[in-house]
Amino acid sequence: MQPEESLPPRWLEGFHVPMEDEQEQALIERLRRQDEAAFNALVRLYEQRVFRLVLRMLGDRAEAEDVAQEVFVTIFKSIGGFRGESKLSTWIYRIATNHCKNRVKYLDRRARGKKTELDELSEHGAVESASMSSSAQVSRPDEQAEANQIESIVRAAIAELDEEQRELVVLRDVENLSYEEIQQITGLVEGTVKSRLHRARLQLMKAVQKASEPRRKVRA
Amino acid sequence: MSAMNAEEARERFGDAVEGSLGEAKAAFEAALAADDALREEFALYRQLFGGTEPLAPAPADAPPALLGAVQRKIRTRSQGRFFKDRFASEGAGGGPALSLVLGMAVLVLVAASIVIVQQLVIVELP
Repeated sequence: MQPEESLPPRWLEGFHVPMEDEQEQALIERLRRQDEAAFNALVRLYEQRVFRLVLRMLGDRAEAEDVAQEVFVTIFKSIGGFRGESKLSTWIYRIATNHCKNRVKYLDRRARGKKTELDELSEHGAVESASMSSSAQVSRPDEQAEANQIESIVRAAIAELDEEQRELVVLRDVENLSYEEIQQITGLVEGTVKSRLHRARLQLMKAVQKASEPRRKVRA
Repeated sequence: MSAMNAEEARERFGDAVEGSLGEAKAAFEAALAADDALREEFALYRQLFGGTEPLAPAPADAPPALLGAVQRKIRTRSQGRFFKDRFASEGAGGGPALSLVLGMAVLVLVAASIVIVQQLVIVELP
């Protein structure tokens, strides 16, 4: 295992790592040669960004950790296929969102499977308690503590969006990507991006309004 | 300027926060001015989606062990071709160079011990 290289300072805002084209090209070339030190540097550059994105898309820390690892494994394996038609960060973004979509589908299938199993058991009288609740509905303690904050409400509302809408809100409003970048990542045309994003935003806004109402009433 | 109703104005919220209303700006503002609820709705929309700060940033940092976990996965899947762990024996067939070095070290120690014992025996014999 090669030692890590000294790293440039971290830019925590936005997904794109500010990097000169030549510098990025040199990094890509080294990654293509499967240079371990270059890969270590890439992981350090992008780990916060990738983790933040997948955490926001999945809403579960353990799943996000695993998916973030898989994203970097895929980058290591597939860098040879990167044709340089987009920025490296856009390509990484596409890998991350695809992994998230696949994981969401897998988790949905698994949840449906469990539900069916439980339904069958229930029908046969093997489960007496009717008060089963999905683990996804149980709030984490830190979220409960922040429940009165608007960010927490927004986070919960984002998690409630359907997968396509969530992807667009995360890319545009959380990661601040341009419409052009979003089109490159999702393969959608601009009109579709905008209309889906608009519907998602209205849904989020309603959720925030709804969650804020009790507090408004208390203040009144 | 053609009038804009509340629903039409709501459809343009996104354009309004991004400053791309164009000629519809006056009609949009007139629609807001005529409807308190719509104005309040737009204020919230702008607060949520019109700022430069990211919306609800993720509350947690990446785990510090992420890089190590990624390296382990690549090592396992590449059957040890990449990110070799210099301190792991990696099974019976792994680490032949390390085994050779250790074996030679043991041989040297044994040989040195024999020489020392022989010297002692020679010294002690009358």
